[in-house]
Amino acid sequence: MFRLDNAIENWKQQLLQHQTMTAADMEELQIHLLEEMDALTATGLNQEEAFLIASRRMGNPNEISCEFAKINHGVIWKNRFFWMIIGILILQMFSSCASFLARGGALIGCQLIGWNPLNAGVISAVIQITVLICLFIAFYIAVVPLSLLRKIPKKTLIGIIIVATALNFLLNHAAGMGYNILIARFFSVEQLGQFALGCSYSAMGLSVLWPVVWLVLLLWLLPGKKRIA
Amino acid sequence: MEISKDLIAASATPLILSILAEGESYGYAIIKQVAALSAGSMQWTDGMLYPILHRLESQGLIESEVRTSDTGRKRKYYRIRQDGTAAITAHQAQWQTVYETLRKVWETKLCFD
Repeated sequence: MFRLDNAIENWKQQLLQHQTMTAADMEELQIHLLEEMDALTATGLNQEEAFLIASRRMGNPNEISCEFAKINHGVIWKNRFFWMIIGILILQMFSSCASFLARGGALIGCQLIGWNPLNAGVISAVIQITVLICLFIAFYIAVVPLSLLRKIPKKTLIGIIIVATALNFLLNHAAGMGYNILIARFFSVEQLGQFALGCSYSAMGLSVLWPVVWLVLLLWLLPGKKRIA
Repeated sequence: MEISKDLIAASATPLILSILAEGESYGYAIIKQVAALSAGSMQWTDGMLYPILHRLESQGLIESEVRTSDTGRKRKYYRIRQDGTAAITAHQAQWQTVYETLRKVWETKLCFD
């Protein structure tokens, strides 16, 4: 059974796929499509036939969005910045998750295998790397193939991100204080010193490691290897 | 006779400007007018008209205004500006030159026949 709303929605999605058009551009094209359909139905065609012919006359969605890309540089850059900022915020959330778990893990680990800076440092670094990589892989598997982020309306997405960032900020600080209270109450000053030193070691190691990882990723993404469709 | 894609693309700007010089219009009506003027031989891809209109607008040759039509639909009406009228003259001179040149070549060729 043909449903016009669905058909028009699909058609719009195809045009918006490359994100080169503004909402006003899209509206103008949609009105054109509807006017063409009105004219066609007036000649006796049914809605489905009218839609097929009208959308065909509009032209290939890829070619149209390509033409819009040539005039809408601002829109394209705004879009890119939007996704970059979303990416930065998600990365921040992931890394504070990882460092929270790493601190906890290092505390437990030191308690189990002995208090010294090396133990604290290695455990915390290993946990941080593992958690971050796991989160990225999970994100890649769950979100990227379904293009989940794109399907959520941008305003909703911004809302979700704001709430998540605020929660992340609060929980991160609450967790930091919680750890400090825990350490101050139950462990000796010497243990605290060793733990802090170990955490600094791992922070130093990771501050070298992550830029290297991102640079490798950047090189991998270098255009030329694969043509971007 | 079908007009080639390149020629359609090349003639789009002067054609749109000249149609708007006759009075304000909107996308759908422009397409219909081009089809009528060329007796259907210049079949534009409808969607391609809008990027051209927007480019002409950003160049300051035309301006637009959104109004609600009699049918209750919002429509974006385009109107020519002074720079647009001047651009038509420039386009006319160019097309005239192209046409004259072709005509001369074809006339000499006919003499040889």
